[in-house]
Amino acid sequence: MAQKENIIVSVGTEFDGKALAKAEKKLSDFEKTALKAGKVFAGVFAAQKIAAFGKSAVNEFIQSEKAAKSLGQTLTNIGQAYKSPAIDMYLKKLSLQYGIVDDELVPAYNTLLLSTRDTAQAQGILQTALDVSAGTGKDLQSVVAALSKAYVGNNTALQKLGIGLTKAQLSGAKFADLQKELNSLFAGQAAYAAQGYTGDIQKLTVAWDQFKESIGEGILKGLDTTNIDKLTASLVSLGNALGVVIGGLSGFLSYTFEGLSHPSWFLPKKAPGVPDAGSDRGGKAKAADQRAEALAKLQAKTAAAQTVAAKASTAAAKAQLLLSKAGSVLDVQQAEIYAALQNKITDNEKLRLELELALLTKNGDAAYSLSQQLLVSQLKTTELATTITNLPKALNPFADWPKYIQDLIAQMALLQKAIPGAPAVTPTTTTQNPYDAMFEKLKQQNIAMGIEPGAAAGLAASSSRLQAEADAYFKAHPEIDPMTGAIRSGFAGSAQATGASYTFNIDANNTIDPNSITKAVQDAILIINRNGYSTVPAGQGF
Amino acid sequence: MKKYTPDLYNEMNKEIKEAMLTVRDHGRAFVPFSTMYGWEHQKGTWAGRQFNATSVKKGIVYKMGKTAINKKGFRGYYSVVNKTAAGAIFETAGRKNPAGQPWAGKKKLGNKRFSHSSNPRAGQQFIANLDGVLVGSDKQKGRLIYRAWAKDNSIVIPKTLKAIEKATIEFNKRAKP
Repeated sequence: MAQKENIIVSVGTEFDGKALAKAEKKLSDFEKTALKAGKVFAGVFAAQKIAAFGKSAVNEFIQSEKAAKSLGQTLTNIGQAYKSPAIDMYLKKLSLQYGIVDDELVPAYNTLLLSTRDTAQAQGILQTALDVSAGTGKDLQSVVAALSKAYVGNNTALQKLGIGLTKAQLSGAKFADLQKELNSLFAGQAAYAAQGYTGDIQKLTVAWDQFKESIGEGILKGLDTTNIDKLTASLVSLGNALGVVIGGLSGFLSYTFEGLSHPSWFLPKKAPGVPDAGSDRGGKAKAADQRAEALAKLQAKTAAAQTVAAKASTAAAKAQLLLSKAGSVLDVQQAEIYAALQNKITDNEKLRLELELALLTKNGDAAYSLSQQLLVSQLKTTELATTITNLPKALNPFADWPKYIQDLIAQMALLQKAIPGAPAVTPTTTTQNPYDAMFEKLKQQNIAMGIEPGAAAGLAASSSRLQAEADAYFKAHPEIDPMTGAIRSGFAGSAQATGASYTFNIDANNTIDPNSITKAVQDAILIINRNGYSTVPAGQGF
Repeated sequence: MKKYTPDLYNEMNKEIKEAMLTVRDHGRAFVPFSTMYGWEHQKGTWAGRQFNATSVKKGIVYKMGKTAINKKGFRGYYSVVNKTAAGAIFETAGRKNPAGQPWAGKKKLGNKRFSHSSNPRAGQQFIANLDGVLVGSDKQKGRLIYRAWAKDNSIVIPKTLKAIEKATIEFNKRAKP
């Protein structure tokens, strides 16, 4: 049966702060130690913060110590090492007075000391530099560098600083005069800058800086007396040690910095936690690993960011392409052209549509080719239209019909003459149809009434025809009064009975109704066709 | 490194594995061929924990990958694990109580801090009969892999560091434009 894998040896371990936080919640050994050591700070700082704070404090102290050592060495070199405690005190006081961290002050003083070789003069110039720096907003290092150069006769840097001294003033003046001038120009600037809320914050910053340095000093001194490998092996150990340190410093805020001068307070009273086997392998190696890991992480992060950016760019390009395609699909004009091309169209229309499509899709080659083809096609079409226009008028196959009819009527008249007693038939003459005038008049009236010309013509034709039929009917039946529809007197049922002769008054204009004749001819042709006879007289032909 | 220089990553892992396999092999070598007869022929509740030299040896393995985070907040990447129950017992028996757990007899049943055996000296006898020596310190003390680690760590750690350093240097070389 496999059980939880807690029998394990590991190499290449890493510290996981989350686990520590969990462990803290579960009242692990770490938390117990931290709570026991310093209840004030344990609630404020998470384990990681404590570790980070510890690192920061150690760094602060190392930097401060480096600067202080450099200054001490300078003093030794110029034979004034005995002044070191006094200068140290002076600089600390100055630092707190003007709210400038000693990391800036000490190197500045050191620079001036190297130029002047005189502590008092260096202090005087430093004071000037502080005022100038506060007055101009330039950083202290730049001002000190310029002043130290000016002290040895190089005024160029001072001129570049732009602090209101003319070239003429700078060229021939002694440094003492220049300093005097500067002091008069910027007197009290540093003190003024250190007043108010800003100054208070700066002072607080300095106090915090010195506090951190003190803690860093305590940690490092503590490390001297214990197993440095174990302490630097893990952040837990560092946090633990800091917990003890902070416990010892819990009264700090209500007292003074003097409490920090007792390094024995900072020494860890309990051995720190031991990581898994294999991870206890010395500070340098671990630091190197951490640096390498940090570098690798940074590079990986950068590369990952670049990859992400490249992917995003590609995705954007793809999206743009898709949009373009989608846009072309939805393009109404193109859609219309495609739809039109599906229909039955002439070659010319097809060419025209294809040309439009080519222009829309910006296909230059195709557009040029199609335009040439279209021109040729148009020329051909134009020639065809011209030819059609110039064609002679087609013959009307019914053009001779009226003549045939007139001939037919003439033959009938001859027959009538040959038959005794038959009513005389007079050939019709082509006169104007009276109903045409009626038709025209009615048509115009209808149009005037707002009826469409086509409908108006239809109505007029219908009315004219009815009138014509009515006239023909009443002409054929003179016994009927057209106004009342009653039979006139003298006609009532006596005609056949009495055997009276008829008198026909034939109006030359209305003797034969052309429509009736046409109908008769049509009927005759139908009958001929139905019976299979030929309409062509024997011996003749078209 | 795994993502951008997989060859370096694999090479580094290979070198570390070679170093760690020494620990594994030595850990296996400390497993006795046989131990108490009773432990090798357990039934019932202890059936799953009965000692079998082959199984215990097979249960000592090299493993690469993140382990669980221990109480100190550390996690390992390259590990040798003693997986089996019998192996774990053999590894750690007597570490906390070298003379066996305090005897409580049948009273206080269920309390694992006491021996409930009918034999008041059962724990002491069991530990005494184990063919092995507890080596190491505190929770790093054991008869198998911890013993092997105590023996080999002075070789394994430098080899591991060398492998990591080598990979780091090469990685940095390649990373430079």
